[in-house]
Amino acid sequence: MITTASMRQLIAAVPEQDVDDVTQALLQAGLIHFINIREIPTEWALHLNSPVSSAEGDKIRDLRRRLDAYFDATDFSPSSVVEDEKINFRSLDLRTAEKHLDEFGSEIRKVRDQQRQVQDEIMHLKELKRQLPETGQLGLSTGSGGRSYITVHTGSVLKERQEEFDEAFKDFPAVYMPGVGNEQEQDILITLRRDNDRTDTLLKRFGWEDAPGDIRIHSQKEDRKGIDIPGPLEKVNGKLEELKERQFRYEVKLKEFVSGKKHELACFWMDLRSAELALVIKGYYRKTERTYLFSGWIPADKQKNVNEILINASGGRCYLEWHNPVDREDPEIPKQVPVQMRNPKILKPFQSLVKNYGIPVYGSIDPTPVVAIFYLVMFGLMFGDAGHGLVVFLVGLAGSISMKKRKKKSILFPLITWCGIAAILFGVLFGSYFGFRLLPPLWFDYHAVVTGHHEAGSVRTLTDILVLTIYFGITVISTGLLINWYNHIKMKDWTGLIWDKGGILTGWIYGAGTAAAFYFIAHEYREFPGKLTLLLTLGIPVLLMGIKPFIEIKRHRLEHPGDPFGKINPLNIIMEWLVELLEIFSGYLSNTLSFMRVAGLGIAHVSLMVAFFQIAGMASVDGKFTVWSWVILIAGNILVIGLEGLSAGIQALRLNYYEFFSKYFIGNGVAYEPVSMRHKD
Amino acid sequence: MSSQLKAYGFINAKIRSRLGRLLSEDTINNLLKCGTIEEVITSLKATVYASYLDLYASTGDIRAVEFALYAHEIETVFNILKYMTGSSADFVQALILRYEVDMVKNALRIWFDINIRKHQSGDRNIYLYHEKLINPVNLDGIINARSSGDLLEAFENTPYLETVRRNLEIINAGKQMFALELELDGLFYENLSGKMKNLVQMDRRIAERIISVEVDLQNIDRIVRFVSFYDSNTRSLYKAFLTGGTISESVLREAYKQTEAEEAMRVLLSGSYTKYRGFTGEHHSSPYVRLNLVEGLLRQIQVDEAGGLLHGYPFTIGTVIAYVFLKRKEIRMLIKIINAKFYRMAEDKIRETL
Repeated sequence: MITTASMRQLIAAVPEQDVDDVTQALLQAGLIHFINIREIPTEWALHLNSPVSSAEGDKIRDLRRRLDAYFDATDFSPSSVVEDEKINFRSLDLRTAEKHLDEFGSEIRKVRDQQRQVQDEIMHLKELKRQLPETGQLGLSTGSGGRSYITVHTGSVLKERQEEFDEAFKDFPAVYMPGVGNEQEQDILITLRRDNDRTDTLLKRFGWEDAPGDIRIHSQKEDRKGIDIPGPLEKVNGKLEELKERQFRYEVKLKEFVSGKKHELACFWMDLRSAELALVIKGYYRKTERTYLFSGWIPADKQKNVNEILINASGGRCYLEWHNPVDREDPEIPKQVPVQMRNPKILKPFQSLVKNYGIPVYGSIDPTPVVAIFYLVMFGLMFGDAGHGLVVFLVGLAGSISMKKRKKKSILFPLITWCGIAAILFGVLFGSYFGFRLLPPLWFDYHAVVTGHHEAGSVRTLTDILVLTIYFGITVISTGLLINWYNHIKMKDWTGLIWDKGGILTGWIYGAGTAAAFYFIAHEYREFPGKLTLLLTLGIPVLLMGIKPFIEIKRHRLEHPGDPFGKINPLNIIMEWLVELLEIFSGYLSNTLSFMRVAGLGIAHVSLMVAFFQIAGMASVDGKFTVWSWVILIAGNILVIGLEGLSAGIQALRLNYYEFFSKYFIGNGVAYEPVSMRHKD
Repeated sequence: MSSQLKAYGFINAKIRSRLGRLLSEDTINNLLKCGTIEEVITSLKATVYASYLDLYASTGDIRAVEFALYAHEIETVFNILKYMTGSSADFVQALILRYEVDMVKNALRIWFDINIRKHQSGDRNIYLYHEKLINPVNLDGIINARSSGDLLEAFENTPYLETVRRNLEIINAGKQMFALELELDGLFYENLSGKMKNLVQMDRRIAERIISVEVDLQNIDRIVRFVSFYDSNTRSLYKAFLTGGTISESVLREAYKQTEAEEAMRVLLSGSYTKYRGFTGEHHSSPYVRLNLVEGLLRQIQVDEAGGLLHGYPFTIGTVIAYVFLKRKEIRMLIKIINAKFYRMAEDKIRETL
């Protein structure tokens, strides 16, 4: 947990006859982070060929992606099967697999076609609906008459042909209402004017007879039997509802179709995925005449396990060579070793924050636990209210549960839950519960300090809060420096340990500078420590920093003989030294002062609550809160939780990334990504 | 300078944040590799287009997706317009006119099919954008017009009335719409050019540069199309090119007179676009392939120009124009990919058309 997991490199040779068994065993184990054997710095590695063609792999991957897309329409993820089932390696006939998928796809297309037909009808009706008056009557003239862009036909077709007649008008915007006309129960047909030619043809085909006399149609009209007969608009709306319902049923049908074949498809997916990944693994193999060679990285504690797996899979016919990266002298090796960060599950949100910045280089400290502490303390100091914390906690918890139910991984919601806990703890320390002081504070009353009513304890004024955060900043920066020194010692980088920007000399200067600053403040900004003290504490490290350019030039000369950079130029050296010192002084000063934002946001949080209490007080009657006072307070609390919660979260992240990580973090490591069924594209 | 900052500060920040949401090269490559439309939907799940593509799941109709994307494009420009004032707002509004002209042209084509060619309207009108953009164009009136009078009535109180009236006779006699469509495009560029003149100097310079490139591209595209597909007699009936580009009218006329598309291209690229001349001369294939190549070239020129606008001084109309262009290009490309995947086109064929 403190440092990244220890890794071992495997170089293996297996005979051709065992290569499939070995591949399957390796995929099943899912432990090897493969590397191209050509990366091994040996002459012979360059002359080996790959045993697989990429075309086959591409084809399998395409088929698997097609399946993924079908699954996407359901809430089922085929990869979840991986957790429960053992991989069953079956020989895969790509043609049959593709045919199988095509058949499946064509079934889906059939439903899509039906959906599209319904959609066409919906769109036709919507177009017609746009032309119909929203309320009132639809005026009709004798026989066929035009209004606006619609044509209304009154007349009749034979009763036994009415259904067929209705069906014939499905392909364009039309509404047919049999027997709703006047006393003679004439039929009504409404179409768009542009379709008059087509309509006339159809009317002729069905032997439509125009009605004599003038009729009017109402939006709602009762027939003689006393039943409501819908007007055209109602008819269109009713039909639209019916079609939308049908459309929805098709969507459900499609989901059910995929879900119904879920298990069969998941097995198919497993076959494709295992074949795909087996090819990925084989892609790392290199072939001699009768043997296959491969190499990869494995966590040290799994070495025995993998050793056994390979011996079993090959029946003992394999050659395995294990290497510990620290045995190699090459300083570049740590940058090539994949890094596995091993933190407890509860710290995963913070591990993600670290990974988001970069992967720590192999063998260095994994800062996740420290980041967790600093992040939560910063958040708590900026957002210290138990009530607000409880809300944030519940939001995080609800989000986490919801994501879990949807089988989705989330880093954000667990992080929010943690932030909620931190805010509750600090709220209790500050005695703040939705801005009320329900219980006495365990540390100091933040509200009283901000409003100037705090008279006892170690923190009484705003300056005390600012100083407190400065101390906190110094702690964070010093921790960063200590981690940096440990990393340099671990990597045996002694020059870096002393002269690096976060090295011992810098730490010395920072410590001395900080002490001098506090001395100056303690003496009411009038006196610095004595000259001798300053010379010993600040002067010596400053002078020692001047050696750095010489060391760099010497190292460069050794690495690049004859390079003009290796020539000593006194002016350059002095400039480099001065710039470096300036960077250290200004950088560390601003880094430390940057932590005052923790106080700033904490004060803003309290001030906003105080302001809302004052506004709520204005709405009170006889000193008692009214309904409006409570509404103001609730709205204020919601605003503060949203606004300040976001600010505090972002600022805490910023302080970690820029003030803390910049002191030690080398983020150019490679993440450990073994080829396994859980492997992502 | 401070007024420029005031005018474009907010919209520039807004656009810059949206630029990050444009599809990356990797996403586009992934889309092209997709085998089915379902894969396209999955690939775009985490993008702004997810909700539009979900329409395919609920309707099974790619035209519904296409229509929603088109509406999103228009909405994007209107959203930008909301944050602009004065002459720059007028200019953006003039850009919106492009969509209105497209809508008018689409409606006219439907009317033309029904009334002149005596074809059925089909389903093209199902997904016609009907919202009012700038002018009160009565699209239903156009589609449902049964006579020339009805048609002109639908254009009342719009700037298109006279253009349509002027062309009605040609349409009825020649049974084609080219001339009218060309004039409508001309109307758009004329209006745009008028609004451009009111912009402040710095904006005007930028807008003129990008619009003149667009006019050039329109002219190159049209001339190459006409030379590829029509004989000189037919060509003489139309005024195929627009004014306002960097290619002089004499060069345009010269190119228009050519009998071979390659020759026309050579003439057209002899001025401002000499660096693209290597593109022509070797493609003695079908006119369609040539046209594809030309379109590819024109798209490249536009991308180069828009990219350039984003790298200069940020508080100008340039950022707005570049974003509108890039968004338009992205949506057009997406529509092409969706259609291509629906009809199972191969990846390399799709690439040719992008």
